[in-house]
Amino acid sequence: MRRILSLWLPTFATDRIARGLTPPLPADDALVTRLSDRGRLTVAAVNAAARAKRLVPGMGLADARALEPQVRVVDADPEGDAAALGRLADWARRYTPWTAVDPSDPPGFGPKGLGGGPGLLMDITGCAHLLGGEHELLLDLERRLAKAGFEGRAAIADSIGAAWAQARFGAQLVVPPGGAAEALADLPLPALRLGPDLVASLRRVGLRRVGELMRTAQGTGGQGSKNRAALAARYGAQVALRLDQALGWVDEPLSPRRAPTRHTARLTVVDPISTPEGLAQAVRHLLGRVAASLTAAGEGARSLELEAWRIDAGHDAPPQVLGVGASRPNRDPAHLWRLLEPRMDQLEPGAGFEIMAISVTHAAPFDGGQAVLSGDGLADLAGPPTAKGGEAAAAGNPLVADPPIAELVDRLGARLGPGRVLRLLPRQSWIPEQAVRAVPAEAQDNSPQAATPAAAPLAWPADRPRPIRLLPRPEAVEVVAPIPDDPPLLFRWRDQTYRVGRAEGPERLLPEWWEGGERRPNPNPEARDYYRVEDAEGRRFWLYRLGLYHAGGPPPRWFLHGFFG
Amino acid sequence: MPAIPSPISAIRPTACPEEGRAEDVLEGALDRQRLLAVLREQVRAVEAPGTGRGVVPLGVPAVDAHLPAAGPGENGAHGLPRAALHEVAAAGDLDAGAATAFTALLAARLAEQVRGPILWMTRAPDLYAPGLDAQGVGPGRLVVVHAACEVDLLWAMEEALRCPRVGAVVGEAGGLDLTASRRLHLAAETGGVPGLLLRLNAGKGGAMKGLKGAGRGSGRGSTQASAAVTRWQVGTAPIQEAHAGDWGTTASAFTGPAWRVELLRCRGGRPGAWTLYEREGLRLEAAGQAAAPAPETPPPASAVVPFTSTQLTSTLRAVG
Repeated sequence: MRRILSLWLPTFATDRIARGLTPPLPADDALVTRLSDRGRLTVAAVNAAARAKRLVPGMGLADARALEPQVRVVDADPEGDAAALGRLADWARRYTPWTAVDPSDPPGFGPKGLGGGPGLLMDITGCAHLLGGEHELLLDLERRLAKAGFEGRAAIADSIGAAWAQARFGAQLVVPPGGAAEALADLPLPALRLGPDLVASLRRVGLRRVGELMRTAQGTGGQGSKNRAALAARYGAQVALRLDQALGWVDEPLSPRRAPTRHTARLTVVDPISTPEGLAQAVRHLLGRVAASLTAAGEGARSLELEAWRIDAGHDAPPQVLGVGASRPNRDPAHLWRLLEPRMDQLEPGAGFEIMAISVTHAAPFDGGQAVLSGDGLADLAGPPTAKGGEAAAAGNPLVADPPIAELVDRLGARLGPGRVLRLLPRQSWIPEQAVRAVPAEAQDNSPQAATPAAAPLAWPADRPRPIRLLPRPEAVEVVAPIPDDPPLLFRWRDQTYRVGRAEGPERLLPEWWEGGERRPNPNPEARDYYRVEDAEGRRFWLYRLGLYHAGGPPPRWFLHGFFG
Repeated sequence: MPAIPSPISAIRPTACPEEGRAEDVLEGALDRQRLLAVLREQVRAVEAPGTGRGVVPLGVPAVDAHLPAAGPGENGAHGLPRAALHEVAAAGDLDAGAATAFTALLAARLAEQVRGPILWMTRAPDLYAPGLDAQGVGPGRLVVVHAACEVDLLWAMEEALRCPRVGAVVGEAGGLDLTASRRLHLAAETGGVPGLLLRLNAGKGGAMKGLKGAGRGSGRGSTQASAAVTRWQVGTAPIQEAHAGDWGTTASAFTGPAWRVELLRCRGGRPGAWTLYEREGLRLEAAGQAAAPAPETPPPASAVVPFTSTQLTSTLRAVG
């Protein structure tokens, strides 16, 4: 049985503004936000004091001012509201990994005079006992929200519809499992998330309460389906659907803000953890649980996240997150810990963490079992024997096919940071600085070039000598060179003069015709003539002349680009 | 300095007859012999650490003769110890290319017999993979690790050296104290992975001039203590000098580099200096035999102040 928590924040927008005001807004000062609606200024949201003075969302700003001349008016900020609500939903993941934003209702929905007001939906199935029960969870949530300055009403029920209805219309905070029908019976029809038009037409036939509608739909003595069909025919499928959803007869999916993962472990502690030893112990404990879950599923983690909630963090402070990736699915707690360990000092425990969670954000079928069996002596069998994609993975990246190497790459990457452990692969380009493609060492190579048959792997042409050290930026040199295209006799680089003993070239590298165009100007618009030159000491340089000699034009410039071995 | 190898070679002949006598006189001669073999192996391990996991010959007889011998049962091959730390320094600022290429060659040679990747730790942005490929470190094996700081680099090196599946580890480390190099050497021994320290900024001042006379007398690159088993200093050699062989038959003057390679220090071996050049298929060759006895030539007179020279002779006399 699912247990859904619906949180309603009727005055979220104004509460958000009031929190930021200094000095704080007196409790009985009306505050509204205004929105320009087709050239007319209307009230978008009201706070509790304004509501008490009968200001309602949707009314004209002029009307509002007439009712309450002292009203404070602030521009509405829908994007800011949405972002703040998102942060709140992230924060609420302290209770459950399955949280979603419940956007503001359209005008006319919800209790009269309160307007929409957004909310959150949380699937707290199996989570409440962590806080001592559903009542305690609700109280904790409302207490924390109140401390942060938000008015919130929450209810827990079996279905989204029932929880939604109770949060907005009901007085029963926790609807016991199976009690949705009873709890809904006394609520007015808008509690079924029906629009004002439908409610009005149902009211015209004398239906005012959900219970009355339920009885009508069920009918008496086996007439249920007939009555339902009549109801649907007359008022549309919406009425029956909403009723069924509220009663939990029709499943209503709750799409979480962030996909929860199947392998998650969380730890809630009474005494906040702040010492490095304590953190390490907690993380290792969580890793052990995640590993057990992965083992049971026959999977390994490609990436996982550690989240930690500080005890003193505000409502919109999202948890601190550490993410690490593994180059191949792994479920060895010791290895995963080695990945996390060097990053642990990035956590700022402050007064301490009260909740820590580890979730596997990317799991993949675990193929380490056979590699372990094959052992060191059977290196040939150590390739990844995954059912699908195994061979492609081996062709794309032979390095991480070997578990110890993959773990080494992970450890290096975890400590040194992303983009620092690389493979340098050939790329089909004559331009020297573009001939190398750096890919993360752990990445599977999915580029079209890697897809070429393994029999003819792409390589740098062997007949074109290339330097072993290439200056990231070619450096200008002054040369003495016979024109038009002889190698230099003498060149001067960084205040040193080098006399060229022998030289070879030119190797002309033309700009690649497919580069450039109007949108992306070619960074190398001119041809380069490369020369390999050797000075009297035998040091070998790679020089090039950019462009050609033109009669009357400025002489082309020369650059030093690299050093040969 | 010819005097230094001689005491060692003087001990060995005396040790051998003693062993022979013991075999004649004592009971349990076999045990004794085995004990001696074990002891000799231990002494050798101290003298030439890292040879326990085999040595890799460079393929140049002139050079290999200076390198330590392999452990027993490997038919007395000489070469670079595999599970050890080696150090290659550029002779001058502009010899970075030569030192890099030589290091890449050593790494490829040391990793030839294993499948693992070659990890290249660097902080410089100018390493160019096509050039490494030409020295035998192909894109299929190369993993470049860009470290943000020296500490990260050394940590990464140590971590990689301890992983037995790695082919070789190259680290472009700058300043490195004895403790750090000991750590790395220990890691190399533990993992059985060859480690190569590449030092590109060894030369300070006068790096570009006066290379001709800069032998080991100049002491450049050897001032800092290091636990490396071999220490090389690599500079370039003009190709004309390397012409001694049948170099002229190749079409291009640039098909292979020519290096002035000095083995400054070698535990379990002898120092030496050679001009090496690379032939087709990454084969090294020494340019003539004339260059081989270079370490035996005394340092140029101009480089030795009189006081030092008398000091030197007196020590020599004391040893002899």
